[in-house]
Amino acid sequence: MAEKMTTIGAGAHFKGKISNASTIEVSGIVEADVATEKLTINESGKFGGSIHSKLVVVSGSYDGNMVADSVWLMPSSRVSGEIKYKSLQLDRGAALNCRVIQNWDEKTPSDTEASASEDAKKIAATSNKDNSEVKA
Amino acid sequence: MADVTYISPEIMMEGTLDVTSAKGSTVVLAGHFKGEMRAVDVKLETGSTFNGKIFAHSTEVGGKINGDIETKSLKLTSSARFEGSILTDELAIDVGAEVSGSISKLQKS
Repeated sequence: MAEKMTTIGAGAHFKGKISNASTIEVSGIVEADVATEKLTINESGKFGGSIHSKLVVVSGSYDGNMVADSVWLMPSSRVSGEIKYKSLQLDRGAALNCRVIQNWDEKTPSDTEASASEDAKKIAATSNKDNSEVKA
Repeated sequence: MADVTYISPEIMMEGTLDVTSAKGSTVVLAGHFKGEMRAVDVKLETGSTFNGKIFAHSTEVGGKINGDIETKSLKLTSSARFEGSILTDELAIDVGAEVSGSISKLQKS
């Protein structure tokens, strides 16, 4: 068992808040808001709530607002809610019923407006925060 | 491994954890937990902290607990720091464990 990996087992049901995590694997049911580096939702796993993570791998079902650098949706995944990502892999068979937003580089038409785009990012970031707080 | 719930050392969880279904029933806590935990087997490792209530069949404690434990068998190892109330039928306390609070037998239903 990897020491830094937290596992929510197949029979487990957790409801609440998870913080200061690095790697989480979900085989059970989780209703929580999570900020982590890597999150895996296994085939038997169900996750509801917001996720902030560098990498998210979904084989199970997910419902909520996800903000992640890399998202990998496996063939058995079912996703609803919203995904904000930088890079996304969607396998054939994945059931996707959600809003998907790519935010790798939110470029404005000209470079002179780069700072404006920065502001837009900030606004987007704060509104995300608001959302997650409402959910919490 | 998929049916064991493991909470790693750096993590903080707050809420309710219910691990009583047939698919899996063991919880190992190495991190920090606040709230209510229901499981068949619970192990709180050295270095872990727990705040709240535990309902389990068997429980082994090596960490720091503030709260109540209701369990059929309980083992407090030498690194355990316990404050609260214990309801149990079988109790073992190792030398070095610090226990304060009340200890009573489980009521027969």
